[in-house]
Amino acid sequence: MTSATDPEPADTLQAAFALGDDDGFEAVYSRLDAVAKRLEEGGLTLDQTLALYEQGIALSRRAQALLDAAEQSIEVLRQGGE
Amino acid sequence: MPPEARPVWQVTRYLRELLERDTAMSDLWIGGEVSNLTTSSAGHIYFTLKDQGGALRCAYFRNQNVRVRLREPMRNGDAVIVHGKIEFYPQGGTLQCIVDFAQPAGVGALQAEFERRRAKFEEEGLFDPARKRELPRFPRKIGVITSQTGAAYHDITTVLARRWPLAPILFRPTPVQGDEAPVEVAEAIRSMGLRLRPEARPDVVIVGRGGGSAEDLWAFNEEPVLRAMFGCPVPVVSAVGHETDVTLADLVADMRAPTPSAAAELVAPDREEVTRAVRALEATMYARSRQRTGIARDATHRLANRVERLLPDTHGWRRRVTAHADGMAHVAHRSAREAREMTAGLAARVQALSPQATLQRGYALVSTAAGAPASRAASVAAGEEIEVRWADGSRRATVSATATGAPAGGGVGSDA
Repeated sequence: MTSATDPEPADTLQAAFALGDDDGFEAVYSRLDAVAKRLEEGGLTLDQTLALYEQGIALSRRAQALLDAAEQSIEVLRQGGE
Repeated sequence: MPPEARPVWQVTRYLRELLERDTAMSDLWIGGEVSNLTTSSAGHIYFTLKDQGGALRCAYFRNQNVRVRLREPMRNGDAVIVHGKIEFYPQGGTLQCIVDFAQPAGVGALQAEFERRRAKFEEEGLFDPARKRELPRFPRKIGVITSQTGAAYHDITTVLARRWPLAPILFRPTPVQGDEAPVEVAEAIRSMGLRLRPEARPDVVIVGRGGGSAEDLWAFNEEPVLRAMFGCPVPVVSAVGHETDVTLADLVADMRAPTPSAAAELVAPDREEVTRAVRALEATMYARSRQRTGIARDATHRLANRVERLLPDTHGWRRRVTAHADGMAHVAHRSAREAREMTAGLAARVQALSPQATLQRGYALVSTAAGAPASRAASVAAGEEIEVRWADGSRRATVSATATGAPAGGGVGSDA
């Protein structure tokens, strides 16, 4: 049914910026950045806008949770250790 | 027996090999004054290095002498120090120094050696700016190679903990001065960069130590360290001594930090700054979404207005219906009044037809004793008791005689 001119379905668009379970900060941030840019570019349907906004907020919350996270761990690599 | 005469080639070859085996003669610095300087058409430089006690022929070949030949020319009478090896040249029967580095005297020996190595590794491409890699924007894991007991370790971990605690630190303690330091530091770099599985590797490594004398920092000018840094698969940040100390490691590193603290600053983004950036992105997204929903709302309003205009004029219709309803109610009221009036008329007529009204006019009504109307004379016989009712009351009477054709009973109604 989807023709070339149909807008991308909102849920597909949302999934394109989905969070992975063990994404590091870099992955989360770059996706958040991409979502914000996509919203700024505009040209989206209302559904797409709302889906992206929802995804962006999830990414932002994850990013902030990572930023607020715990103490730095220090692992010591001993001589001869692999 | 006369001693056996050896051929010349045997002697010269022996001398050549003797010099080659002598490590002191194959890697040495010599200081003296330049004389008999010539440059061949091929670009080789020949000169005699001499002082008050001796002279030594020197050959400074084209592939080594670019800097001296083109940029910092040597002249007769210059006091210089040269680095090279002593070689016996069998064909000419001469001893000469094959020079690979020369620079004006007056510079300390360590500095001269530093300059020699710098020239050598530069030539080899170890400092090539094109090879330098970007540091990761948000490091996942940060490698730290320095002494466990030095100030550098404390400085680096303090800054990292403040700025970017998200990334775990992989610390490899190693001596940073002394004879074993160059090999140990080199091994530490390899152990992080190459020995670990790629996913366990840090994505950036800080190598360094705190300040000290030029001799203290010397390990960071040693070839094993430079080669290990050059071969490291992840970017390396050097942090050796203070701002003014430059080591060859600084030149090989992907980025040079003036101090260990500065290296940590370079490697780690500032958490607060990044938090602000995340919030700014959130604000952007919010503004854009608001804008978009605003557009949708306005569009909905415009559409609603259009639909309103296109729909039948319900208000007008309602008005008309109401008018009709009012008219009907009016008609109904009028009908009801007329009906009431008609009813009243009918009632009057009915009233006029009732016996009571006749009685009112002076007539009397005769009925049998049983109460049945006796509307005809034949209805009663002589001797029968009857009841006669007037408007104001009734009386009992007895029929005395019957007379055909005569008014009934004669007595009945005769007094009316």
